[in-house]
Amino acid sequence: MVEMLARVIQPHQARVMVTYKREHGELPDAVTFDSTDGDVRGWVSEAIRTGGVPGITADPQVRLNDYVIDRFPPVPGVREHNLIDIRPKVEFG
Amino acid sequence: MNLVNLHDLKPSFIEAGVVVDKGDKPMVWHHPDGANGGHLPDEQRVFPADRPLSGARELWQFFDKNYKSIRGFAHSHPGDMYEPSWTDITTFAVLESELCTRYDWWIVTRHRVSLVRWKGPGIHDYSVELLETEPAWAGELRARSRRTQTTA
Repeated sequence: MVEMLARVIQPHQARVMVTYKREHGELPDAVTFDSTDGDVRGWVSEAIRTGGVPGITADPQVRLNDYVIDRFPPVPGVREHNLIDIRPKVEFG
Repeated sequence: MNLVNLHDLKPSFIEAGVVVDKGDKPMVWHHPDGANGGHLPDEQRVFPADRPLSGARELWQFFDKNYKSIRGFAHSHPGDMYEPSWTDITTFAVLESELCTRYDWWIVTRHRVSLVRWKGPGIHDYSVELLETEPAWAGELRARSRRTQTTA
């Protein structure tokens, strides 16, 4: 479930960085780090659709079906919290 | 010391890719972990701090950073399968949408090269053209798609 962003991200939480159509932003709410890819796509889609990601222009037609979720644990001394990043897939078959 | 019987070694086809600039020169070659004869994967989704980024994420970051300099991306297919797969088409579409740029997408097979471009009107509507003259980098992409593996 989405949780309100506290000043300090809890160990089980993550910030979500979003890149969409060459704009960058951060989801205002922290999410649990082990959220499913589908949940993260859903929350980010809803936020972009309604203009809820600062720095990213609202897009009512947003579709994130072909985006993938990358997860990064903390890096001591560099980033103390978990990070989730959503990006387009680069898969060829 | 492991001894390998040279008679058990044969070249195998493994898909590979290359980003091509607007001057038709290779910019970066793509050999992601887990590639095989039918797939350039995008599967490494959790990145421990002590592990380098996977080939797929690196490729995305390269596109994101250099999107204005890129003409397109080529990847190899086994045999003479010169038409794009649905996986290919959906990747072409999402990258072009994300980067707000149209690209050329080549598929290099054993004997032919096709050029795939968006034709519209739908986001997944792409045309396929067989080229009469191969791009200069096609031979190296074929060579990079052959690796020597030990047979079972």
